[in-house]
Amino acid sequence: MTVLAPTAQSMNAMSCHICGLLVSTDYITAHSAHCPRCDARLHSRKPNSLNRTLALLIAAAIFYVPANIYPVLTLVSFGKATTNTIMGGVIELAQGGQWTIAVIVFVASVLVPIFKIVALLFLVLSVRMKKTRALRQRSVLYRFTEFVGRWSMIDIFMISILIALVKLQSIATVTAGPGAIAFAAVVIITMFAAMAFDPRLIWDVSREEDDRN
Amino acid sequence: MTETDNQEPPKAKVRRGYASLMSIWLVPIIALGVAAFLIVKTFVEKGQEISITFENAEGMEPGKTLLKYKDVNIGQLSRIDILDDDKGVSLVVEVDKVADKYLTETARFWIVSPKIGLQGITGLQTILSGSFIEIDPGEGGEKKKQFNGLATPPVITSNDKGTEFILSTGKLSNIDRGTPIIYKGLQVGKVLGYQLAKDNHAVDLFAFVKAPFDALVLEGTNFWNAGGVNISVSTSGVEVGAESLQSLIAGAVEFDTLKIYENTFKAEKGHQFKLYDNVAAKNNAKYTEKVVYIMYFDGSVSGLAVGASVEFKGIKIGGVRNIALEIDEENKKYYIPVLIEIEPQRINLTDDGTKILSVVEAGKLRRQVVSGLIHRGLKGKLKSSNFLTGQLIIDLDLIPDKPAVYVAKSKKYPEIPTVPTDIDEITNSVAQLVAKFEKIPIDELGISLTNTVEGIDKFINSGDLQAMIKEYTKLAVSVQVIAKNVSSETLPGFNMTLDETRGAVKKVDATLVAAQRLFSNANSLIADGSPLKYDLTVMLQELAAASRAVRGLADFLERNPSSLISGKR
Repeated sequence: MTVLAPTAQSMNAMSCHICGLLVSTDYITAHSAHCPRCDARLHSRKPNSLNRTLALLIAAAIFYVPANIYPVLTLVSFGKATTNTIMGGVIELAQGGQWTIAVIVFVASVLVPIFKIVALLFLVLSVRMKKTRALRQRSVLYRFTEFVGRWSMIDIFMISILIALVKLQSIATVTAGPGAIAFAAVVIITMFAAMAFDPRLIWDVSREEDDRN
Repeated sequence: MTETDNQEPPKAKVRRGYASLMSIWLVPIIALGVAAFLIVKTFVEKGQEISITFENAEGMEPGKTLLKYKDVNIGQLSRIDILDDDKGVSLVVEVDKVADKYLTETARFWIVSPKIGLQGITGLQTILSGSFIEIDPGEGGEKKKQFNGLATPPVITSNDKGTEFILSTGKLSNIDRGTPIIYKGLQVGKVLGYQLAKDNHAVDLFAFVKAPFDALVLEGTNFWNAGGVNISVSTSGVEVGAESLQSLIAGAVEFDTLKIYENTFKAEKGHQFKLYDNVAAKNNAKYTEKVVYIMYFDGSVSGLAVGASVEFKGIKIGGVRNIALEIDEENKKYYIPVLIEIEPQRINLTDDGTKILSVVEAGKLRRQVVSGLIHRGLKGKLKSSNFLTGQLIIDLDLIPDKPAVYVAKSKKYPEIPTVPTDIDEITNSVAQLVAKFEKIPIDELGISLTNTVEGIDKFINSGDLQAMIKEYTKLAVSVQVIAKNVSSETLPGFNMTLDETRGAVKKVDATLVAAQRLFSNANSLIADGSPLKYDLTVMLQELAAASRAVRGLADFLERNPSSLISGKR
């Protein structure tokens, strides 16, 4: 397995997340501790990380439903209002022969949020179940999740730009639908969920295992 | 590492925090709340579906076409069904919850699309936005889900308050749906539509007069067609007028109430009025009493139209009702019976103002007046009322000195005798004059005149006259000789007588000389090539030419009598 390196936790200390000062944890009880140097809050691991991540994931999963049911975009062009849900837009693009864009939109807007929710859920559950297998792969998975998260926002950015630009009254007007808000909520909440998850917890499990051994 | 070994990690500051105050589990709860709210909202706002039947679904697009009320979206077309019985299409519209109250049996639906009509261009905004369905909610009633759409937009909606009347007219002319109804220049209503009357002989127009102007429509109100151009030709010139540019193009219906009818009741909804063809017809309509007479004209009635006025000394007292042609095959004669209507109400009776006649009495009296006039020599003739158009009117006048000729075959209508028109008379007399001229043997007259002159000429030139004068001279000389002899041989007294006789003879001599001179003068006057004879001949030729010209003029006048007034073209 992995090499057991000394950690701050193993030395009854923790480092400040802001200024990096290593602080002894001897006196710390239930109440929150603050860095003596920069006054930031101190915690050895992200507090309540698994619960937070789980809660945010559930919220994201809930928002994922209206995000896909409701139209994200209403294009009023020459009086003809076209409302599009995310999947509707993808299908329309595909039918129009714009396969590359269809794939990009599908991946960024449909697959990525689902992937993030499922991946984070898997990480949370695997930590909670104290699985010790594929620790490094899970770390890679986490990094990938965090990296890919921001790309889901391209849809929202695109809608925002369109709304701002296309204001030609009768000729063409774009307005955001309720789906766009839900979708933005999904993306933001999953990003928070990824942030709330503390990847060190993955490794803590192996240490505990080793401790037990 | 060496430094950290010596150094104890610093102690953390401990402080009370709020970590547990806000649980992270609030986030999914809020998310659930928001999602639930969205879903509930959708279900709550999801209105009911109604179906509207239209002839076709022109411009309709499911999911895009909107249902609007006062330009506010209250629904959306969700699908279009084609009706099985080929009666059109059924538009299924999802109506927002807020608009539920409008879906009653009085609601009306129609499709708004661009339309260019005489009343202007409507629905222009739909060129860009696409057609939409509009609703007029009506005045409530029972809830309904099946509607029949209107083929054309209603002229008025339930927001317009007013009263609907029925106008009956002989023909529709330029009146259409939406034709404005005008009261003293204000547009106070519109024509909603029309339909053939039950007897198929008239058209019923549905006229809507907006409140508060509908109170102006009384039972005695007159409606007339004010559209088109009014051209009136009078002695003061030609007047071309129209109510307004719009009425010129789209027509207009105008109404007004005569002062005498101002006390009548306000007309009820659906009251039936007659729509007069124009203002003049409306103005004439107050003469309800009509007496029909028949007149027979000899000449052409070209220019006399039905409706032409009948005037008595220049005042209109009636109109022409009918013109016909009758041919009597037995006698090979033709007649042109003209039926005229005299409106006795146009005649005022002279009274001292103390007697108040009842309507019936006055009517009777007026009829007596007209028949009395016929007895006193009332005759009709055609008169040109308009030199430009050649329109004729019937002019009645008292001409007692001409015999009344009655030609009526039937006793159906009383007859007013006629006299020829002024132009006919002129033409006739000119023709007679020419005929007389033609009877004069001008050529012969000229020949005999020439002969006479030639005779005189011969007589003078023959030498007899000279011989005679010579004889006379000889006679005088011998008388003189005798007298000398007598005087020398007889008494001086006698001599004295002889002297007197000589004087007398001298006088005779002188006279003869004068006569000779006169005759020679006459000779020179009448001789061939003399001025007098030439002048005489020229004068006779001129006379012949003049008579030909008069004949030509008479012929021309007979053919073109109007040229007497308008001149030769």
